[in-house]
Amino acid sequence: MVDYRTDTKALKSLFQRDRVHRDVYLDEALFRLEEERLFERAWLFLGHGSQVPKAGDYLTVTLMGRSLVLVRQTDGSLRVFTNRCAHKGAEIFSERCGNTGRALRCPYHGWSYRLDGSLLGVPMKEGYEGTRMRECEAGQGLHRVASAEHRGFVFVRLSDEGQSFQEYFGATLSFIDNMSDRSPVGELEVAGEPIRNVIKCNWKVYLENINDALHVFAAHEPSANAARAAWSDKPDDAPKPMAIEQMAPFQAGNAFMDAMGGRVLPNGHSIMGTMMSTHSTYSDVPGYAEMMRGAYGERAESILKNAPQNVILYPTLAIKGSPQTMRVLRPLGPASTLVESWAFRPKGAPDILLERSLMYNRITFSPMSLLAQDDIHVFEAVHRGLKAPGNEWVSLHRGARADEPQSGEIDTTATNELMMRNQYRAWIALMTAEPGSVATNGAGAAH
Amino acid sequence: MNAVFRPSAADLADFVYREAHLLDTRQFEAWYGLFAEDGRYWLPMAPDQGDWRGRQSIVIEDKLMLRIRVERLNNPKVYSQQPAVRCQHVLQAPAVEAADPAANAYRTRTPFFYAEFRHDEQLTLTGVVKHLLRVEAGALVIVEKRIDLLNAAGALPGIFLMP
Repeated sequence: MVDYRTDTKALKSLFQRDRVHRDVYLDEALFRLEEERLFERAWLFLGHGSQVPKAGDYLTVTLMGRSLVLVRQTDGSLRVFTNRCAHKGAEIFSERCGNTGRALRCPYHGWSYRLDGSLLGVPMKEGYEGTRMRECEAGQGLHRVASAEHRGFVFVRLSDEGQSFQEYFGATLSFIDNMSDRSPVGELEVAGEPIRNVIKCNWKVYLENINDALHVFAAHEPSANAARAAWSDKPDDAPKPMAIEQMAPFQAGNAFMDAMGGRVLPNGHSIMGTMMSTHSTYSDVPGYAEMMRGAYGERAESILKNAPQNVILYPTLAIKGSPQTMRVLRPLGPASTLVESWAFRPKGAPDILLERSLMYNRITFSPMSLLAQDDIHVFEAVHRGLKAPGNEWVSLHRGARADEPQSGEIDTTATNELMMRNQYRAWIALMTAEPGSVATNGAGAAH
Repeated sequence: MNAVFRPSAADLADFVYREAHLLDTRQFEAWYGLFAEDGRYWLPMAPDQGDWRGRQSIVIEDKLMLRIRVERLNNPKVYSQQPAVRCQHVLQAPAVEAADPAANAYRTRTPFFYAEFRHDEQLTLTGVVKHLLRVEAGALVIVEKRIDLLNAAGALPGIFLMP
């Protein structure tokens, strides 16, 4: 048996330019290693500021098995802590969200903390006189986790080391801006709880598929055809209901999908739909373009035209500026991935934009959605199929010519599997970086 | 026979049982036919969710979207129904919550267990199904079928037929 923890050469050989070894999807020990390395060093989406608007508001999130809590401070800033009492380790909050007032209080022995995480009080404190408690971890308050906020989107980096937030995401942050700017006041609001779906596949199978333009026609054809059949008796010029408008493009065909355009960026990020996407064809919302022009002037047009199919902020976030939806991957195990589908209300924009976001999540990502059923079926089929010996490699050859640049920002077609190869370059970099060094994805990230 | 059909409690219960039976026996066209033209099939994400607008639901489908769902299930090329997924509803006796012939509105509340068998594995869900029915052309039709799953707010696996 190969021990990937100690054998860096074997770890690096799991991705070989145009193919990836099945162990990255199946191996239990590799998943544990991903938890320790990749998910520690990368920036992971945690939550959105609109979920904790007031001082003392909190949101608990379990991320890679770690219980975390996001707390709004009295000065309006945000802090992320491990949701663990410094005393004996009990989770402080067990509700998903709420308001804790001016202090956080542990339900076990009543230790309390200020909103900034510092220790406020312990019961019968004289019992600690003459002890080391204040000098030890217990006296330091809640463990703080590195976090960064961009337009209300809160990310964490679990490790104390790694790239800075700005360096790690680079130009991909502009797509968070694009989604936010779809509100005439530039602000988004999370529309309630995300829809949550657990799929029996490795997180990377799901992530690859987010920028897989070629699966659309093959895997979703029966669903797109069903939508066409249900609408077939209507005249061509009949206004399409939202469901038809959103489902019909799934049968656009491979040539359309290819022409959408793609782009890879350092650190595994990618954009599918740089030129156009199935979201480009949605009907105009009365009054919205005028509203946007009033708010942004000439820039409004470029905001509205910029509607990629999916933007992946590697490794756990994928966003769609239009409709304002987002998927968050929460890997649970080598063969279990929780997918959260979030909907956003662009503040000040017509209600129909939120309805589009809600409809899109139900049609494509809900556990009962027809399109998700197509996807879940093939993801689970991949997981079963890969277990068979005989061919241990997954092919990522499409477009992988010998002169392909190995790093940097590259524009390509939407069906080039470069977007997946780029994910594995980042994967190797994050999985093999020596402690103390900064994990980078080749030369492209070192700027 | 009366000119106006006024369903009894037994008629309402029979309707609820028959609706589940049609799903359990994969008679999707007949099931679709039970919905009124303005009928809806709804799985909210919270038991106190009063409206599907403005917040997420697992499913909220009008007759057009149900038509798409049934068209797709009728297509033998749908990979995710290979092999065909089967389901079983086990219903508690429906309670009639409201019967208002003047308003032509009948409400029943039916606790249930639902099992789905797919790829050698069984998924089990439970909850309460609330039917809002009306009489049209001498027969009951569904105005709304609302399913409150016990774990609607939880992380759900794929559900390939209809609770």
